[in-house]
Amino acid sequence: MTTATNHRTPASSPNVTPALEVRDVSKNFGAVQALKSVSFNITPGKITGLVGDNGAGKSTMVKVLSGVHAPSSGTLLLDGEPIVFSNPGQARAAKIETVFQTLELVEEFDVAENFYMGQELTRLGPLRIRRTAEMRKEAAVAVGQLGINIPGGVTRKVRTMSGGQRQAVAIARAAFWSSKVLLLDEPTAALGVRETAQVLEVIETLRDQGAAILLISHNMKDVERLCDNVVVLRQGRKSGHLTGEFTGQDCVSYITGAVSDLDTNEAGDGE
Amino acid sequence: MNDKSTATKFDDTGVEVATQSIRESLTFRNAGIYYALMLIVAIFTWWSYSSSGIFYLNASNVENVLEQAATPVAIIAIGMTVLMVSGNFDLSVTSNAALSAMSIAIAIEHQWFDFLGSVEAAVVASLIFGIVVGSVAGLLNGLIHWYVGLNSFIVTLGSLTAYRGLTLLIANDASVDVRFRKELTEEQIANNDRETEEGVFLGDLIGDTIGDFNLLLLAGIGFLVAAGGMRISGQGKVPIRIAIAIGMLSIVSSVFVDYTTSISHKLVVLVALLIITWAFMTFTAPGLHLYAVGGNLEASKAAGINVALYRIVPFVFVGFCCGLAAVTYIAEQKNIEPNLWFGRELWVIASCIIGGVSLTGGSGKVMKSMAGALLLYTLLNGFQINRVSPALQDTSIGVLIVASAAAYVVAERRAAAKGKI
Repeated sequence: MTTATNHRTPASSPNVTPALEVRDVSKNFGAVQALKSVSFNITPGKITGLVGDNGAGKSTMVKVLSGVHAPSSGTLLLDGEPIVFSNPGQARAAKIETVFQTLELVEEFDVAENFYMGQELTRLGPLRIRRTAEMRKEAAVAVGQLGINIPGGVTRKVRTMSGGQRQAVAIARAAFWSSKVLLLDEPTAALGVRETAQVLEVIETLRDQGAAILLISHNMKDVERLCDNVVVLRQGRKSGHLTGEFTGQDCVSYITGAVSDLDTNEAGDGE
Repeated sequence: MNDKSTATKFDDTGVEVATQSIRESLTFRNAGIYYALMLIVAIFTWWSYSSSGIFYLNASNVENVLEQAATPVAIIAIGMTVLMVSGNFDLSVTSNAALSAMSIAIAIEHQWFDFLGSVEAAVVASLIFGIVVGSVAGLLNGLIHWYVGLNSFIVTLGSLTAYRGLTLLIANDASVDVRFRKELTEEQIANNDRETEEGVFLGDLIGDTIGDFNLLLLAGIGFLVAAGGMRISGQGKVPIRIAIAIGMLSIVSSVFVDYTTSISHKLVVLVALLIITWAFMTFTAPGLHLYAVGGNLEASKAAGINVALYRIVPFVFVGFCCGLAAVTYIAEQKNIEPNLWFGRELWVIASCIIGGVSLTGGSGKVMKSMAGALLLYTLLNGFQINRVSPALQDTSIGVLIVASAAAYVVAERRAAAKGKI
């Protein structure tokens, strides 16, 4: 797979079907309504932002999309087909990968082992002998294609790597297994400036390669730089959907409730 | 162009992999336990020779140390390593092993398996029964830990006492003979009289040893087998070549050096268990999942690994090893005491800690735990040969445990500091 590195792919024509369509999704936890009838699309070759204040429902939305929670009502359409997940494994099988806020890497493992964890290539049938050399090679190719530079290569243990390198590896792993939708939950939250830049580059490279990406972030600079459109959640509802030209300040206005697309200005009981 | 650059990149990393892993694997942090073992053997060799003119490292003494270490400590330490890698802990191991041994003795005494018709069949069935008891006792620990959500330290602290109590209970607080009846006449069954009984001990049936072997030859074959395993799993070329070189060297030198001694059954059991477990942990995907589950449970769950399986089965495996230790013990004994191996679980855990197994899970190697057990028993044996007082022996071993753990922590910290700069 060869890729152009610095240009947006022409795949962003208006007729592109969304990879994942979220339609009127609601989620209740007992009396608490965490999501109220939220709809948006995640499109290949685009980065869709999902922003909102703490408790606005971002994490709940990610969990619904990644199969951790089933929606109370509403539907998810993957390539136009309705789908229902009852566990994260099914979402993964449908090629929806998630990188959670808390890094899900094993520190004692090297990059290649983390890449293939749980899905190792094996030989000799039931003996399940690992094909180590092959996995290292594949992982090295995948890491190289995203322009991630890890001194020491894919046999470097995650424990010895910086936060940015770890996050880059986590994203590369998700992209490696996902051919459709990538959900990134606060990928730069715990990173310094240089490390953030490193991770953002990886995300842009993935976008250019045609991945459909949902980026959950608190960092409006990142959102402004990366996102093609932004969904704003406020008290579990979609209070705004920004497309075209927008600034981080626009997002903040929606997040704080200074501006809202919602008809009624009810003071929700939130969480 | 992109493909080309990735290809060269991989070649670069490939080279880096080989050189790094060979240099890395010889660092104190990674091979310290082997250096310590060599150092202690060297000290005792010099000490014994200078004080009493005994060649410490003679073949029969090596076999002696191996045998002392094997049952129960080394055999159970293999299971314990697997369990600790998966992130858990078992304090009940020697109580479990005593329970297994006593179950076998009881099964023999009450002739539970004599209906099979022959002594041999009854022997095999009784031994299997003991291993099943050990495994079930382990499973029970695992189920309570996982499904009740109790810390394994607490669960096994309880079963440590409970399994010992159960052993005393079924033994009626007395030692029990392990003697199979040779002929199963109705009179003998009706007239359960020890004095007149024709008995046969397990040791009589299978013999004391499997025969005389040259230890160097066996070690050489072991290294070649290891090299083959590394080849199959696609490890780097350098470690394979080193293993082949050492193996060939041992085999060639076995022709010139008569390093022959009789090999006992339990040594065969120990080595077989060690090789199988080592190969499983090192080369297979499920082996890697054990490390994953111990290293990061949430990540393992997210990666679709069946975490319940990998948290419970290691308990069963430790129990299996306890049963195996019981079997190897019974093969050489005439009766079983209910307080068998009381307090020895700490030696098992000490072996693992000296071998560098992490208490929090996710790292540890069976070979190193084995070296840890050998280190302990080499010390014990060397002290005995050189007539060191028991009090001083215990003190030295205690110091060794803390010192080795401290050495790992310090080495780890230094490596971390270096890595970050």
